[in-house]
Amino acid sequence: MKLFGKPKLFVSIFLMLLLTSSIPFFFMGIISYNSFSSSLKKYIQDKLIVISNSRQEILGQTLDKISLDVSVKAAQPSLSKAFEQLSRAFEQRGVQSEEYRLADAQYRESFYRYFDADPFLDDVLLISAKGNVIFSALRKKDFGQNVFHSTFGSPALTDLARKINMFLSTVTSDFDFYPPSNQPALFIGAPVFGETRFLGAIVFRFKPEMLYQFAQNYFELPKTGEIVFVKKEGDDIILATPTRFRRDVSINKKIRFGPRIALAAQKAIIGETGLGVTVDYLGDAVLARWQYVPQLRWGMVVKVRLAEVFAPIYKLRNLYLIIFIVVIGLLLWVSFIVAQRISHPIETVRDGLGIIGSGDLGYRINLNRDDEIGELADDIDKTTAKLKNITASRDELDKIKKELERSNKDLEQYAYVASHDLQEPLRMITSYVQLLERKYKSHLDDAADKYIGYVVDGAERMQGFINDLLQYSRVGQNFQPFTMINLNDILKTALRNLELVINEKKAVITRDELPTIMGDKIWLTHLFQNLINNAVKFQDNKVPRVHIGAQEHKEEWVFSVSDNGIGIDDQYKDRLFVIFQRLHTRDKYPGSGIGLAVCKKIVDFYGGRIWVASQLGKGSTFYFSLPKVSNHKKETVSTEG
Amino acid sequence: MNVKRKVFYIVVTFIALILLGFSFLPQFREVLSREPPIKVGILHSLTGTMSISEKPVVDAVLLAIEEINAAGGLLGAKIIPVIADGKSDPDVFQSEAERLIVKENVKAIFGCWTSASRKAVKPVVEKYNSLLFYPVQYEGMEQSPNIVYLGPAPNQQLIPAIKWSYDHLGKRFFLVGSDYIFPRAANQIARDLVGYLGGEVVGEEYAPLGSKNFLDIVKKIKEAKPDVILNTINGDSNVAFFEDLRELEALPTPVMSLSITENEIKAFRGFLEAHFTKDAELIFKNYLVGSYACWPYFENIDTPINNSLLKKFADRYGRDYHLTDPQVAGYYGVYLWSKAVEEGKDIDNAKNIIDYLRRISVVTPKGILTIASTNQAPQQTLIGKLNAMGIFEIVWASGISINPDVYPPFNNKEFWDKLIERFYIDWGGHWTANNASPELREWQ
Repeated sequence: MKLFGKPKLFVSIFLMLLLTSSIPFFFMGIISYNSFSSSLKKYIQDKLIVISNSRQEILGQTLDKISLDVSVKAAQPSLSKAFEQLSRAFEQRGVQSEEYRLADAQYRESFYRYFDADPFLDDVLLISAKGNVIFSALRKKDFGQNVFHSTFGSPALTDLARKINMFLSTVTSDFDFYPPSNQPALFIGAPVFGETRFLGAIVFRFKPEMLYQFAQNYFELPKTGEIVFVKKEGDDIILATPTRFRRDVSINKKIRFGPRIALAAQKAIIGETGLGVTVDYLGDAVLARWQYVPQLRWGMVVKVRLAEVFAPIYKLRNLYLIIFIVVIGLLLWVSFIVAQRISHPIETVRDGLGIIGSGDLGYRINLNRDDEIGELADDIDKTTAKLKNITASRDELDKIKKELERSNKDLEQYAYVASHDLQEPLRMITSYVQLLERKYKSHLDDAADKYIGYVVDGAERMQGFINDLLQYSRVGQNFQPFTMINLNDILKTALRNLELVINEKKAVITRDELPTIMGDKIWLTHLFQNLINNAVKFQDNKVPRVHIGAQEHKEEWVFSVSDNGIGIDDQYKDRLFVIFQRLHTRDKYPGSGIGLAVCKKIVDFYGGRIWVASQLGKGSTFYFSLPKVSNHKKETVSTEG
Repeated sequence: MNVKRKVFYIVVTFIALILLGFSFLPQFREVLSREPPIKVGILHSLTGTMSISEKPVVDAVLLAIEEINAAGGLLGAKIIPVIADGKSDPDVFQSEAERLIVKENVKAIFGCWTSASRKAVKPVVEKYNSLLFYPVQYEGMEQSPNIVYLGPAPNQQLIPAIKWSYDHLGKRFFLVGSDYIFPRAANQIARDLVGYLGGEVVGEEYAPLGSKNFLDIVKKIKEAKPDVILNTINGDSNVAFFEDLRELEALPTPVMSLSITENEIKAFRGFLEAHFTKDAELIFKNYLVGSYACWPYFENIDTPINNSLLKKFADRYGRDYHLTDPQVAGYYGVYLWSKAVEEGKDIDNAKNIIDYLRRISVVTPKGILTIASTNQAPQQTLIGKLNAMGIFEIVWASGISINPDVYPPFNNKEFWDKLIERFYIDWGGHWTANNASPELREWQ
């Protein structure tokens, strides 16, 4: 694997360093980012919950306190008395009567005292059990009317009066637009009892600001934080108070919610409590906390825009990204340097070895480093130096060998040429001496005949030598092209050629089944023929027993020719295969002594070996091997001449 | 290829190491370790005169606990209900409450029906700073930091019931009740209120809790000829009372009952069927149908949320099962408690749980259930009229929830406190008049 043209070692060290350093960093980064952002989210969520809970609590406590206050005021005996008098004057004489005016003048001051204690109090009404508004501090249009009458314009007040009559307990009205005061109003009323009778209700009307203040208190709220109160109106949910971002909203200007937005508000109004990411009534994505305000039957949503919640998280994320990129860059650089420092010397050593391997033994790596790789390079340099010396001496040997081969070849060539060229004059000598012998035998004296006889014999023997020599030198020069040869056939031919000798000696020939190999007919026949001939020839007076064997080895065939002949003394074994070497006198065993030399030359040509194992007096075995894949020297086949 | 494989192994090893590291984080361990279960007590009369009314509340509380457990439990823990039998006897309620808190270590008790049993349990839950969720209508005049009152206070049930009866049925009231603290206090309020409204109380009679003999009382009712009978009899005595009304043919004087639900009606029908096999249906139609009750909840409310609640109970307890206000209060009481615990992440501190109770709300068929600063619940009020099916049909509804008053407005706190104290002293330190009444003993 190559990366950016860098070698494997560099790439793996580089990647390993990068991964081992960057993965923990990466995960640490993610973990700390997550823990920070979740703790920040948790902080903001908790803050929203705390604000929401405390606002709901304060609003609830305020309303509870007012309710209690109203019920306490309603239970005052002085109020009962005032109620009874005002009621009597109202019912019997009407508001224009003197009686009513007197009663009103008598008690008005005491009602005014309520206003001192509560800046949000707008009006105080007394409503009789029958529904008549028998007293009003402000005397707006509602004064003197009957709240149960169908034309009375405030369902909220009508409902309040009905509830007080029915439940005889303190009741908080819906917060709704109140026509007589031309603004939204909240009523809280309580039943008033006389000595023996239920009289009616005292009802306090509060300014809308009393409730608005809870939506407009931004203390502790984030910049985009908002407190929204919603109420139900029919099947709609509407804003109950102006909000931070919709200050102009009043009750008669309603923002109606679609089903998709302001889900938090929709959940709050049906009494659910919760926290989550949602879309507010303005269409912004917000983190919202919603809960119910039981005293007013309102929903309350405390929310902050997501953009603000996530701003610090985004900031942190960006910072982390920058740090991450810088650190990864550093890690890349450091990993690169370290990988380079490790892999570069190894590359130098490898490259040096490459140059040395390609033959330049004079090359030195010369790394000059004080570590293991430096030692390695030094060792290589030393070894190369030694190798250079060895190679030098080997080259010399090669040269000598080549010279020897050449001179050997010259010698062979010379032998061939000599034997070939000598044949002709020798034949001439022989012919004429024979002619001389035939014509002048008995014309000359006995000594002359004897001498002529010697000349003829010598010439014939010389003829023999030259023939043998010629044969020997021809080995390797006139091979046929190799074909598949069945050695059984070759052996048959050899034995037929030796028929005379075998029959004469009554020799017994046995053989193994021989293989088929690549080779040429003529010389393989010679090989077997020579060896068998020797086996039959070198005998005492025993019947010769000869066995031809074949043994398959991994890469070669090993053939053997064994006999029960005279055997060979160990000291002669080296001389056996040398040309014209004879171990015995010509009288005892005739022959030129060239046979085994020819055999060796043939076997050599095939790339095989030839050797002998023998015991004097008991017999000899000649072995020769022939490679299965022939590796004979081709150039010799096509030798000139 | 080889290098790639090596890199792959390195990456895998690192990821494995990092995951191993994660497993030591506290959040991770929290997920792995399950919290020990939370025990809650359910303390109701499973035997005795009140069992007819209280057993169904046990069913409701159990169902809510089952549902919460099925949804993952509370703060990661399973809720285990421990059911105790109050045996319709306030003394048993008291000792069982103590046993639940001390021996069973319950974190809250859902229970009690009669005010007598509640008042017996009150000092126990206060002593151990535990919590009692009380599901039934009561006389008010009591506030405890350790009791959550889920049933209607007088201004949410008794007062509108009387007012409605006064407006629609007549001005002459006969008050009849079991002789213990709720009917006694309720009738005090009734007397006051009828007076303030300009009506008249023509009789007031009490029978011991568990009493089976109302003949004398019914005779008095016949003599007084009231327009309305205001019935605060509790438990299965109601069966005897209606039977005696029928027996003496005092009906059809309309009866406005404050402690009767479809469950008691069902028991009465069962009684009729047992005694008057043939005429049972006729008697039921002539004498009971048209009777009135006043509750914040009737099963006849036709809203999707109520229908699904009814289906839950029908699936769990069978098709002819009735659902009544105390059951609904008991059922949603469990949800209120669990929600407050979840919100405050606190199971032990009663004060803390109560604080959170005031901040949360639960959506119920009777409106949005919240807890006011007095530990009571704002409630709507419904008047129901019994139909031939044994179901109360809603004839009047308040529309919105009414905030609870601890004390009725016609008198001050001191007056009501003294009234309650006087009964306790008169009854020898008990909250029922007939602690040793032969009828009650018989029942137990």
